[in-house]
Amino acid sequence: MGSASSTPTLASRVPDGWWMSHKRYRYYMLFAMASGILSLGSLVLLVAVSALSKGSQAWAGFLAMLGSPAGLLLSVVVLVPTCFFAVRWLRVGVKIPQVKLGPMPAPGAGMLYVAHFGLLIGVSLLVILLLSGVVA
Amino acid sequence: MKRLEPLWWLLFGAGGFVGAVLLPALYFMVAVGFPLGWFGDPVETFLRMRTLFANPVGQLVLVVGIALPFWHSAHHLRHFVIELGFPHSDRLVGSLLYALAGVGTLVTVGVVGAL
Amino acid sequence: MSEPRIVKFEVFRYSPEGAETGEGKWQTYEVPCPDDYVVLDALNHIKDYIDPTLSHRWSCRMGVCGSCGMMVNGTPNLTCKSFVRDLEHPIRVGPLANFPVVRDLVVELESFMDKLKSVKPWIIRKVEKDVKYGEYLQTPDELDSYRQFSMCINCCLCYAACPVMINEPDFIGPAAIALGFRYNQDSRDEGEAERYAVLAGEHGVWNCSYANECSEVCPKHVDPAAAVNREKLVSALQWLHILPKKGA
Repeated sequence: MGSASSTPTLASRVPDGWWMSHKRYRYYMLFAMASGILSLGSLVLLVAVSALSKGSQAWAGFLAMLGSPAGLLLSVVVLVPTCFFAVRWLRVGVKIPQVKLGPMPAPGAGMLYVAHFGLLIGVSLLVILLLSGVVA
Repeated sequence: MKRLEPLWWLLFGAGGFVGAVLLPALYFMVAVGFPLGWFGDPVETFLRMRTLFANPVGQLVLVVGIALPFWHSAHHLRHFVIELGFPHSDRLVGSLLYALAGVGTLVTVGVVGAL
Repeated sequence: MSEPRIVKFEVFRYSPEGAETGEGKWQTYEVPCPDDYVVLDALNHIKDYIDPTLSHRWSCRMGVCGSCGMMVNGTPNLTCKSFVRDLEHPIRVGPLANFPVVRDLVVELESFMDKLKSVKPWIIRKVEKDVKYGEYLQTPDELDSYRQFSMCINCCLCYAACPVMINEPDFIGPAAIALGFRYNQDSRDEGEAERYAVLAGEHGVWNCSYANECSEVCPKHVDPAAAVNREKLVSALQWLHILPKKGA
């Protein structure tokens, strides 16, 4: 490094518990934790598929377990962070693809917002329609 | 692990997208709607689910929907641990988390394949 | 105009002469502040009338030079843009976080300068075109693809806000990556392949966890987080050989 390094300096300090020091940081750390909770949701779905493969009795057992107060509490613990995650992910994700990739022109922010949230609404409707039996 | 950073990031991104777009509705139906009987009794939902996911397309959706979020969480938790002040254990923590996601993926493929 | 109001400031003090202890301390000053005072005015008042030993950097007083960045009540900000009337009192002014302190509010920027240079922030051509063939032309769309990233004033607020910087001081960081990205996006440039090793290397974009803090604090609305994460997308596709590297 340059000549200035001969001057004694005070090392930059790590603020203790920096993530609690600012509202935006706290919000970001919540987002990071919500990211982890996605996998908890995936695990529950994995158990569901496993029950499904074992037959109708195992499936009924799984539904009874998830329908119990503890099961419903688990669903709140999964769904609230997952929805929070989905909205922030799709919102901040809009910034990334606004770049020219090869011959394709860079998509605009407005178009990406519509695409991201359109996809969320479209896929959700499709899942609900298919699984509820409205569309066979 | 460091050489594969683009791969981890692509898996993280894909998992985040699946987690954001597919997981909320799928989880809501399977873990809330079905158990509370809003969409039919257990026998009805059993038959409906088996029919829906008896084909390769449905099974692919399940594998992608369940396994990719594991990769997403692993990558984000790895960065979370660094930010909590443990950058020097990154190699260990990262390898461990990605290994877990890998195991999760294999189990998912096995479980969905048994449908 | 109303009477100036007395405002308490807690200012970080450190002098290399007392370096053995390695400690800085907070010193309180009471400054008469007219309604239109910014934090920099108050610091200059302290230096001129209360305590000439206080050291701080500043130049233009209008958010252009980028030298008066400090932590104001815990948030990185240009002190020339921080109005005293908008802040909670007492106002705590410290040196930019994530940099070594040379004295009081003055930080060591040597490592930042090295990081800036490492991304080769200039137009690289394989073969330079002779001037007699005219200038390099660029469409408005081509200009827009990098324009905002060229507005950086190197004030380093983004480095002080970045949560990655705290734990990984070698991360080349938001401003340097945004500048490298700016040249990669420039239609006249052919240096993308040369910058790849640094931007997508060990201390490059993959360290970023997209907390977006850099963009939150940027006084010029450069949005470094967008640049860093677009660079991730581009270099991931290049890693997969889906996209070519310009100049490879």
